[in-house]
Amino acid sequence: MRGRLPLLTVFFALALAATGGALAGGLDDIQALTGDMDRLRQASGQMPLAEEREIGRGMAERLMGASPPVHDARVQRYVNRVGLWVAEGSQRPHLAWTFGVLDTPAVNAFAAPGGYVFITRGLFLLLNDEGELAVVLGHEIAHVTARHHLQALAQDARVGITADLVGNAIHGHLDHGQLEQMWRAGARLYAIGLKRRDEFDADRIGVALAARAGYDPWTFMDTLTTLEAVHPDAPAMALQSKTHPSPEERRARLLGQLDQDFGKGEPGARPETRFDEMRDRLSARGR
Amino acid sequence: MKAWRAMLLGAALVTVTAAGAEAPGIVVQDAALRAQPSTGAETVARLDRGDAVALGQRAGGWIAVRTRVGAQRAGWMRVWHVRRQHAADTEEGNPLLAGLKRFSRAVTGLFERGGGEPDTGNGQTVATFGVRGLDGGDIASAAPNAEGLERLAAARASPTDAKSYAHAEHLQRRAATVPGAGVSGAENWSGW
Repeated sequence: MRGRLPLLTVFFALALAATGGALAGGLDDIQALTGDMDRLRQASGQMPLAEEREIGRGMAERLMGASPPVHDARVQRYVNRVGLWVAEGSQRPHLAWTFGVLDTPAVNAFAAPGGYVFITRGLFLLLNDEGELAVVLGHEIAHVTARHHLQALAQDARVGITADLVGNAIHGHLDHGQLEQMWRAGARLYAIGLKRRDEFDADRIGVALAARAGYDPWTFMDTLTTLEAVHPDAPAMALQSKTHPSPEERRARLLGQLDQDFGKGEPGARPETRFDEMRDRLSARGR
Repeated sequence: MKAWRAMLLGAALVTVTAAGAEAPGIVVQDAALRAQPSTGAETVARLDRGDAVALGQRAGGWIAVRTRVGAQRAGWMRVWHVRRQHAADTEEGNPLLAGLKRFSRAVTGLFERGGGEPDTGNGQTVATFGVRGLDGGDIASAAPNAEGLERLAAARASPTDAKSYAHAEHLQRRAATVPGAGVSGAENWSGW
């Protein structure tokens, strides 16, 4: 880890350049700030995989702390097989993709940098078939491949990656305490949510990844119809509603792409048999 | 000629699905039942939210629909205007889906906000899911659970696993352009 930290330092040096300029009231040089932001975005794309994975691991462990994975190896193996099959069609097929079903009735799905993707038992139980599962996993895979969380950590002041922390990173190496701060900020990100644009992008990429894997991308319309039927303020739905655009908006944004790319031709698969078995196993746990 | 062929095809699909591949469904949004899978096609009937229907074959974003009550009519609807129902959608198995099964303007009182007060807002009645969720505070304040993540790492699939699973389900890789994701390096690319 030690040998890789300087590269992480470069990432945060750029973050400081971007956020520091804004904090210091750097209105005099917006152009330079914009340039810094561009370099920052590039830096998030160039962060070494080991660092990305380390940040993601800590975020994922905190998610597990809030809601442990379902104790059912058969279900977890199933979601890992489906997930990997979908992820192998992505731009980052060789990440150490790790999928899981979290044991909570909340309706949600999460991702963490480096290849972690989770769906809750509550959301799984609302799906009709494996095609819907593939798109949900594809959506989360897209957040990882597009590094949405890393960008938000570096750019979104609300998660609390302060200029101080970034400054420390510049003047030395990120020590364990500072990495700990990163993880906590990452966990806060789950409460705040990503940018709306990132969510729409993830929808568009998610349906395409599911289609590449042989599934029917139109299944996602069924998922959105279901989400729409749940009251956005219902306790199990509240976090999902707060951190995502409405199902109606998501459908409206996707329609053009679906009609254009998948309006004709082979519809793709919606396997049910094994999916139903897993759904039954998860349903039994909730009683 | 083309239109006739399309109509015949449409009729054939409905007939075929009527023969066995239909699934019970419910209309979730007031919408037109059309003669063909096209927004320009003639309206056969107007269906209301809560109407029971039989769902047949899909064609892109369209699905063959047959009414189950009143005059029997068949046609096409957009896929998000209807929802499929499962035998497993019971009160015990899945309270939310059981709620959807009863989805009807006649029982709006059944669908309430999480807090319990009836939703009298814009008439868009939606189902309640009354269990406690996982909120952002839970995650932000959670202690790390390394053991949980290790359990998932043990369940990871190898590419061979994933492939043999997919083949058993007859999943075939196919070409599809993956859209770009703005600035983040997922620019347009196409593999396979």
